[in-house]
Amino acid sequence: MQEGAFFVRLDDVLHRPRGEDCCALDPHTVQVRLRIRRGACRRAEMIYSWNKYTWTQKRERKPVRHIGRTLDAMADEKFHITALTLPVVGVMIFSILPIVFMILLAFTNLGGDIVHPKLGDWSLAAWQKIFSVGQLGNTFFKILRWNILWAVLATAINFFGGLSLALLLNKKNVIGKKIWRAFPVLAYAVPGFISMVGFKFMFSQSGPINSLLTQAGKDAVFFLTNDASAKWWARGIGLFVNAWISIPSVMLMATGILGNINTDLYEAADIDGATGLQKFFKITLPFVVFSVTPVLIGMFVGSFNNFGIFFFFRSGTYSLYGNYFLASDTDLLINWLYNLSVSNNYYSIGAAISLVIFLITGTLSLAVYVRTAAYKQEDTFQ
Amino acid sequence: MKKIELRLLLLGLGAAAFGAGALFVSGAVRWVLLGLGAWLLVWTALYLLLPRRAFNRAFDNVHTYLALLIVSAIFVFPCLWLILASLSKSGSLYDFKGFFPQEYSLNTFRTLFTDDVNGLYPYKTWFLNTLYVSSLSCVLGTVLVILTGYVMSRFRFKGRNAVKQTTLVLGMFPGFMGMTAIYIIMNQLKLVNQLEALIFLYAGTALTENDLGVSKEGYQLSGVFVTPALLRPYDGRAIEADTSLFTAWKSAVEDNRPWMVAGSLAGYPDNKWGHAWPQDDFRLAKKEGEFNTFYIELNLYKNDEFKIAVIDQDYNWGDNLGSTMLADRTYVAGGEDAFATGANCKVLQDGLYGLTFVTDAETLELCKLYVERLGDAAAPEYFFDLAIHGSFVKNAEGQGWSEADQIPLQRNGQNYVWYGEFETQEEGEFGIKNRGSDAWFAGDDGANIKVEPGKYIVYVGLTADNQREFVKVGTPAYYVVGTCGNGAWGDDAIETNTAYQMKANEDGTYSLDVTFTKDDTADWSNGRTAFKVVYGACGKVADEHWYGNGGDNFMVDPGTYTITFDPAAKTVTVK
Repeated sequence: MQEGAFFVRLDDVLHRPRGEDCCALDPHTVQVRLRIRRGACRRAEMIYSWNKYTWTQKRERKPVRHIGRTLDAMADEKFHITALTLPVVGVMIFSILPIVFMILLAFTNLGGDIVHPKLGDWSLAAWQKIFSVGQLGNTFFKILRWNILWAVLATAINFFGGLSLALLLNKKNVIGKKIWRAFPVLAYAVPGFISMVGFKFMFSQSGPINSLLTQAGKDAVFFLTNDASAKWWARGIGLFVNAWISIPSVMLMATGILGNINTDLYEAADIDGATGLQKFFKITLPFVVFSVTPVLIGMFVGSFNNFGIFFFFRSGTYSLYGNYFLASDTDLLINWLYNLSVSNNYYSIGAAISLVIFLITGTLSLAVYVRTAAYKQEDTFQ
Repeated sequence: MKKIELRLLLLGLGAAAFGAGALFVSGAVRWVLLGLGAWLLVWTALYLLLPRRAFNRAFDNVHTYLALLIVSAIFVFPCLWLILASLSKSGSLYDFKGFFPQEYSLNTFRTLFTDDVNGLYPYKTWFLNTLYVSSLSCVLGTVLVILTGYVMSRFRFKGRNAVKQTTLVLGMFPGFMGMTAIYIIMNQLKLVNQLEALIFLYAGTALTENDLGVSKEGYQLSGVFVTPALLRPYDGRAIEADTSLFTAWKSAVEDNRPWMVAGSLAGYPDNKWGHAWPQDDFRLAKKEGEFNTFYIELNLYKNDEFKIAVIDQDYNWGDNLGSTMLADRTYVAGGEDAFATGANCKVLQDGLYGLTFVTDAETLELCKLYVERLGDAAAPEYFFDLAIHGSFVKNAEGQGWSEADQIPLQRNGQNYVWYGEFETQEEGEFGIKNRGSDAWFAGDDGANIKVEPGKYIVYVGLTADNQREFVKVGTPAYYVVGTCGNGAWGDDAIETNTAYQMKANEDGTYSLDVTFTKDDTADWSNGRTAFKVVYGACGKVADEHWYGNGGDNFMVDPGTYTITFDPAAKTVTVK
């Protein structure tokens, strides 16, 4: 920006005390001469746009290109280029490239014997295998069925568990709410991995639960073994441990929401002689469910892709019955995907499965995404 | 009757369960039956003994605390077990008799750091690896997130929205999507089993993480670098306000403030910046089912200015928000900044608007207004009630710009022209206010009109939609106008037209000696001169200030006349 003279006419300067009294008008028409130095022009323009002053004369020369000026600009008004280069490159390499790569991978025959340094070829073999009647397709549908059941059950248990816990702690007759609330929060504070491993030990073949059973003169139960007898034990324990980990966070969220319910509604209900149950089903539940629909969908997606729980519980276990292909009866799609692609080099099949998962969860995520404030709000980031 | 039967039934059941448990069954079932029976018996007994209310309270309290104890045990027990198991002397989980170790020591922790069990459990190395990866990726990730957050909130550049949307969409893709691909890419880059790979990966994907892992009870995180002071677009100036947090927390508290739209609104002249009471027409209504969301539909017209505010009956302003709350500025932008309290919202286009106001009960700056144009505005109804408002218009205490004692203007028939006379003993300035719409009209340059001491008449011309057309001020005088002189009738009532200006006489009348010639006639007047006496200034004359021969013009032959006007009788005599 060159130095130069700008003339600004300050007129129309109305001072309205909250608009009520139109008085104290500035009668002067002032001519202000601004000496414009680098960077100052922006300021003058700001004044212009904020106060509807009018330019009477505007002289501006095109800036001369100069390496020093360019560098200056990179640290000043073009700082966004400097700042965003590295993050954008990082996102390109570690987020966008892998996603594109993976989508393409699903349509090749890479994997099995065909691994580096051999070259793969375009093929739909992976899709054919998944949707055919062979061992692989059979496993896929079995796992998909269990995965959906798991997601529904886990979401329902966590949500209603957390809600009931919040309601219990919210009761008027509970003294020392903070202390009672501290116990679930303690469980919340333990990292999920550690509690999962802890529970795995607790339910293991010679763990404390089995040792209690044998002490009581019963036979030990093999909760997490790899044959058909353990199927529902393992699934049930998975649901319990998942609930143990997630319920405290749902409780915290629900506590916040319950505080937002208009107490007038309850008062009105009391006057009309509603019972506690009626109040819960007609006021509390609709309000909470409505407020947390996006969170609920998010919880469903999270449960659907809950990699950790069965990875820690039954890692390396492949079921010995039911013709499972490199999977156990508790594995979710994402666990199977991991078994296939990372542990056993079935790259293209793994990629195809992750596309299927994405189709299911992506649709749901999109439904949440368009509801979020982040999508609607213009000025915020993340 | 029914209640008593129910009690008896419960009593019987309890007794049966207890008895069966005690006498016939063995093992775990026995204890269950005993417990159940005892529970039923005790409560039935209490129900019979205690008054109704006391029973209810006792029943509720006992079960509430019982539930609390059970829940707490479920959550605490595994944690406790983990901690105690880690302190086991034997170091193995599998030789406990029952749940807890027999002997305790800190031995396990000692061996963890000293003995790597033949290289199978090099815990020290793992520990250092974790420290290395987490601290480096934390620093790198934080720097990247902070840079991006700062730039996104302070800079407005081409592609900003694209970056934002991409980040959001990427956050939607589950992390595992790239799992296989990242593994293969890392394999190609020979980075598998390298700690640096993890650092790059964590740092690179930090931007796409939606959940920042921070929380505060009673609040929701609304974003990074969205403290209102930081949302101001970058203009080279430093931020001088204290900004304690780079993140903003939305309160989870419900907002019950009576928000209203207050402004000078062409369509709603009675709003008068919140003077309206009751405020029902301007109150924003709570949107059903949405948290802290208010809504109102209004006809807004170009150049309307408003704020959203809480105003009580005595016109005391509480919390109020101007253009800073606008989510986008397509239809409404920043207007005037009165008293530096923040610019008003200014309407840029006529229309029927739906205003959605999302509030935060605690932080005013987090409130946002979303403006949606629903359709064309209904034609506004303007109310005209003009008055002179000036430094010389004083109230009883002698203060100028008096609110109560303005000089009202008269309307000229059904025209959009108003006029009024005033006299001032001092130098001063003034403007004209339409009290019906709060609009303010002043000189051609927008500033107040300055006047010397003297007597003045002011003419204000407006358009039908309350816009200024002209404001003229002059010293009024009596003129003889007609086909004589310039032949411009009313336009001749102007100070420069001294030849036809009437002189004041001592008896209060005005007179003019004038000679009409043949030039002072018009085509239609048959060689005669037509004239009237008018009272005006600046070429403007009000309808009622025309004085003729009855309602008609005076028609005289060329010649010399003395025209006299008597203001008291409003009669004109011609000699």
